Amino acid sequence: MYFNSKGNDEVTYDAIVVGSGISGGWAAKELTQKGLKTLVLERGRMVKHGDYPTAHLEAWELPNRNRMTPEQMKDYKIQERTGYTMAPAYQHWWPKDTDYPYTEKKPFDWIRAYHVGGRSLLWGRQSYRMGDLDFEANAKEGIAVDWPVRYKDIAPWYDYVEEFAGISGQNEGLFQLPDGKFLPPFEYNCIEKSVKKNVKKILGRDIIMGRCAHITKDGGHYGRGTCQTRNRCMRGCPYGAYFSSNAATLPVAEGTGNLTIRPFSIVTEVILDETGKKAKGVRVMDSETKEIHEYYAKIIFLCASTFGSTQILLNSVSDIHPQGMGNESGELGHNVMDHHFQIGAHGKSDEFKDRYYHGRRPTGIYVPRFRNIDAKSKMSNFVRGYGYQGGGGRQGWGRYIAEAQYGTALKEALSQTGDWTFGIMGFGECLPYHENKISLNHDVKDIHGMPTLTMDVEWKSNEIEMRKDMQISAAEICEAGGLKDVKTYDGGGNPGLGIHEMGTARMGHDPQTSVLNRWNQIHSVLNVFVTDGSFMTSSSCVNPSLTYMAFTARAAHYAVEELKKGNL
Amino acid sequence: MDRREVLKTSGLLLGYALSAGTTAALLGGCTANTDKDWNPKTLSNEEVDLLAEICEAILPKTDTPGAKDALCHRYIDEMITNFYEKEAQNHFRETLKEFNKESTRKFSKAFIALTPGEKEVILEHLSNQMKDYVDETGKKPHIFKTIKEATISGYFTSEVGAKGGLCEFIPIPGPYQGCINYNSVGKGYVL
Repeated sequence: MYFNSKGNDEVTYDAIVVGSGISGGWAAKELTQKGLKTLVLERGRMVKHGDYPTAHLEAWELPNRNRMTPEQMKDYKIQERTGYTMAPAYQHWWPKDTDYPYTEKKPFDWIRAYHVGGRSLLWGRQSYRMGDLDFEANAKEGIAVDWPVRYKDIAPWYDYVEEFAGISGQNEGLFQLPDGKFLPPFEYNCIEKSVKKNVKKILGRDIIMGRCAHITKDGGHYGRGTCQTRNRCMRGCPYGAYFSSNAATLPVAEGTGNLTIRPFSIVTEVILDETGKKAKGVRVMDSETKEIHEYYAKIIFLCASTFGSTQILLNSVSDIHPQGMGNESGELGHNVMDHHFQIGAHGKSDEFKDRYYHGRRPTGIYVPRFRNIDAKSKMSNFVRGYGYQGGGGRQGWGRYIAEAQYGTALKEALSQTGDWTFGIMGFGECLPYHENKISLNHDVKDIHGMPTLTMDVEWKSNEIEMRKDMQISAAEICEAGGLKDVKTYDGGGNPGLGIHEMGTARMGHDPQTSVLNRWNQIHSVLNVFVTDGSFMTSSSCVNPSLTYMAFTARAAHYAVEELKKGNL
Repeated sequence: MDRREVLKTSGLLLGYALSAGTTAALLGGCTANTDKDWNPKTLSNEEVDLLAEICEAILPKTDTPGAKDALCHRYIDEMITNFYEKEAQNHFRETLKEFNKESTRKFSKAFIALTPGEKEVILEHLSNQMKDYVDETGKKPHIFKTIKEATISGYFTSEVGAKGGLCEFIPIPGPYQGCINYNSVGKGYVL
């Protein structure tokens, strides 16, 4: 069934943005601010800033003190794998795995969010720049293909998005982790200060305050509030203190008068025009009515998430693109990456018993990459590197109290805080391997009858070798930091668990070996831009969202310039 | 705040019904045992009465609320009902009998009838037993361990326990301060 009875005018916009998460929100903001009538298509429901039903609920106001029962968890067996995302306080943010199945040729955790704002409401908010150490790595090492971008190209766009998003942090002058335009950093607590000083002195390694997308100073940012350190970010922030599409980009886009958001709109494919060289629009299934609509625009931004955008392109089959739109290279769906993590060390301290802190800081400390950054730090058994996220604090009532088992003595012990502890967890770069891929599966359909994905992704020897070093170095840092009872851990984890899925439509110089050009355009369909994590040519070891913001803003400005020149 | 209003709005906004147990806990507030409307779902009334006494002996009322005030026994019945499989429920109920067995052996009385001092003797015995206990299957934890942990978590995740002053409850801290004098707070945080 096709419903285009309204006539083309009413379904024609200057630009269409598919998805409303971090990338889609930025595309919407930039395009509408440049005067383009923009339609944002979101597959899930509407969520306006402030529609955060659990934001103010305490444990006793939530079912089972905010725990999912085994019965409730039955429909969320994939989401459950994270161990922290499924709880009554967050349940409304996650689609049922049973509605949206996928096939795991090898184990893969795909953690999705289908609503306006997408995972921008749920992200970890750590915000780091990639540098030339990252952008040059593939070319220098002869791995995969070269990034068609260098740090100097993207640096001004990092400036631009950081100033709007509000990133708190400290400039440190590190080559491997470029400085930025930061709001004041959060404070260290005293164990972190002490470990930082000792580690610098003994190992020469830096520990810095985690850079995160939180407003830490009043003023600007379109009236968003400052962080109240409740650390309940994943419920949605009533103050708008952390960056989300809902709190930041979409309200600004809406304010231009150029924005239309259409929720419950599943984009099934991109449609070509008569020439076959340009896209004329997208086909949409209304998830509520199941009706099929078409919308038209001069430019299309695919920001449907790494796998979401690639799924749409794989499904956009035509005589010209029999293997999916922009897949002349055969690389569409390939080179899946994620960050491997859940490995590190922790320890205790007997010091600072008279010290404490106030508030639940929504970030921790960060140990920037120190392996393979120069000739001196070169490792023989792996390339690239990793960073650690971590932090210190005092133990609370959940600790084991050996000295008192019951009665007033137990109560007295519980009323006091426990020892200081400190721990770090590595986040490692994953290389882009052609064999790590996703593909369309027409045999398994989702609740809307759409073909699903098959995941065929695994960690390989470079990641496995790197992990050994991540574990040993974590212990080394904790010990140098002056901690006692240092213990290491390796929690393993499938690809996908980092929720940093990247690749599948990589950028490159050559249409024969890449899907997108240096401006995030599909080589063979220049008015389609893909600016979510699928464009990543390599993964770096830093959290990727800030990079998606910068590339999206850059691509949007370029698209508008090209449109003005009549090139699109 | 009107408790029924809280219940209504949170239930509606969440888009799903609160469990009957939580409903009872919310409506019941801190008027624990006198609430005649509440009935355990898995444990018997006798077992819950015993459990309430054990919880209270673990976290007794002092100048701050005790486990009974915080309805920890109800929380434990809900926990067993919603999270335990049949086998684990049976293990809990079976080993719960240890408290009465031990009190009968030592004092010829049921646990519930003991003086506070006598209860401590039983708890001392069972907590020592717990220290030597090895749960080989990983499915049969020692009863004292189960009750102690659940009493503590039930206490601090209840409104009465969280706001009762044993620890510091600060829902909206404001700006983070990395290094302050412990004595300026003087106790641990609930959250």
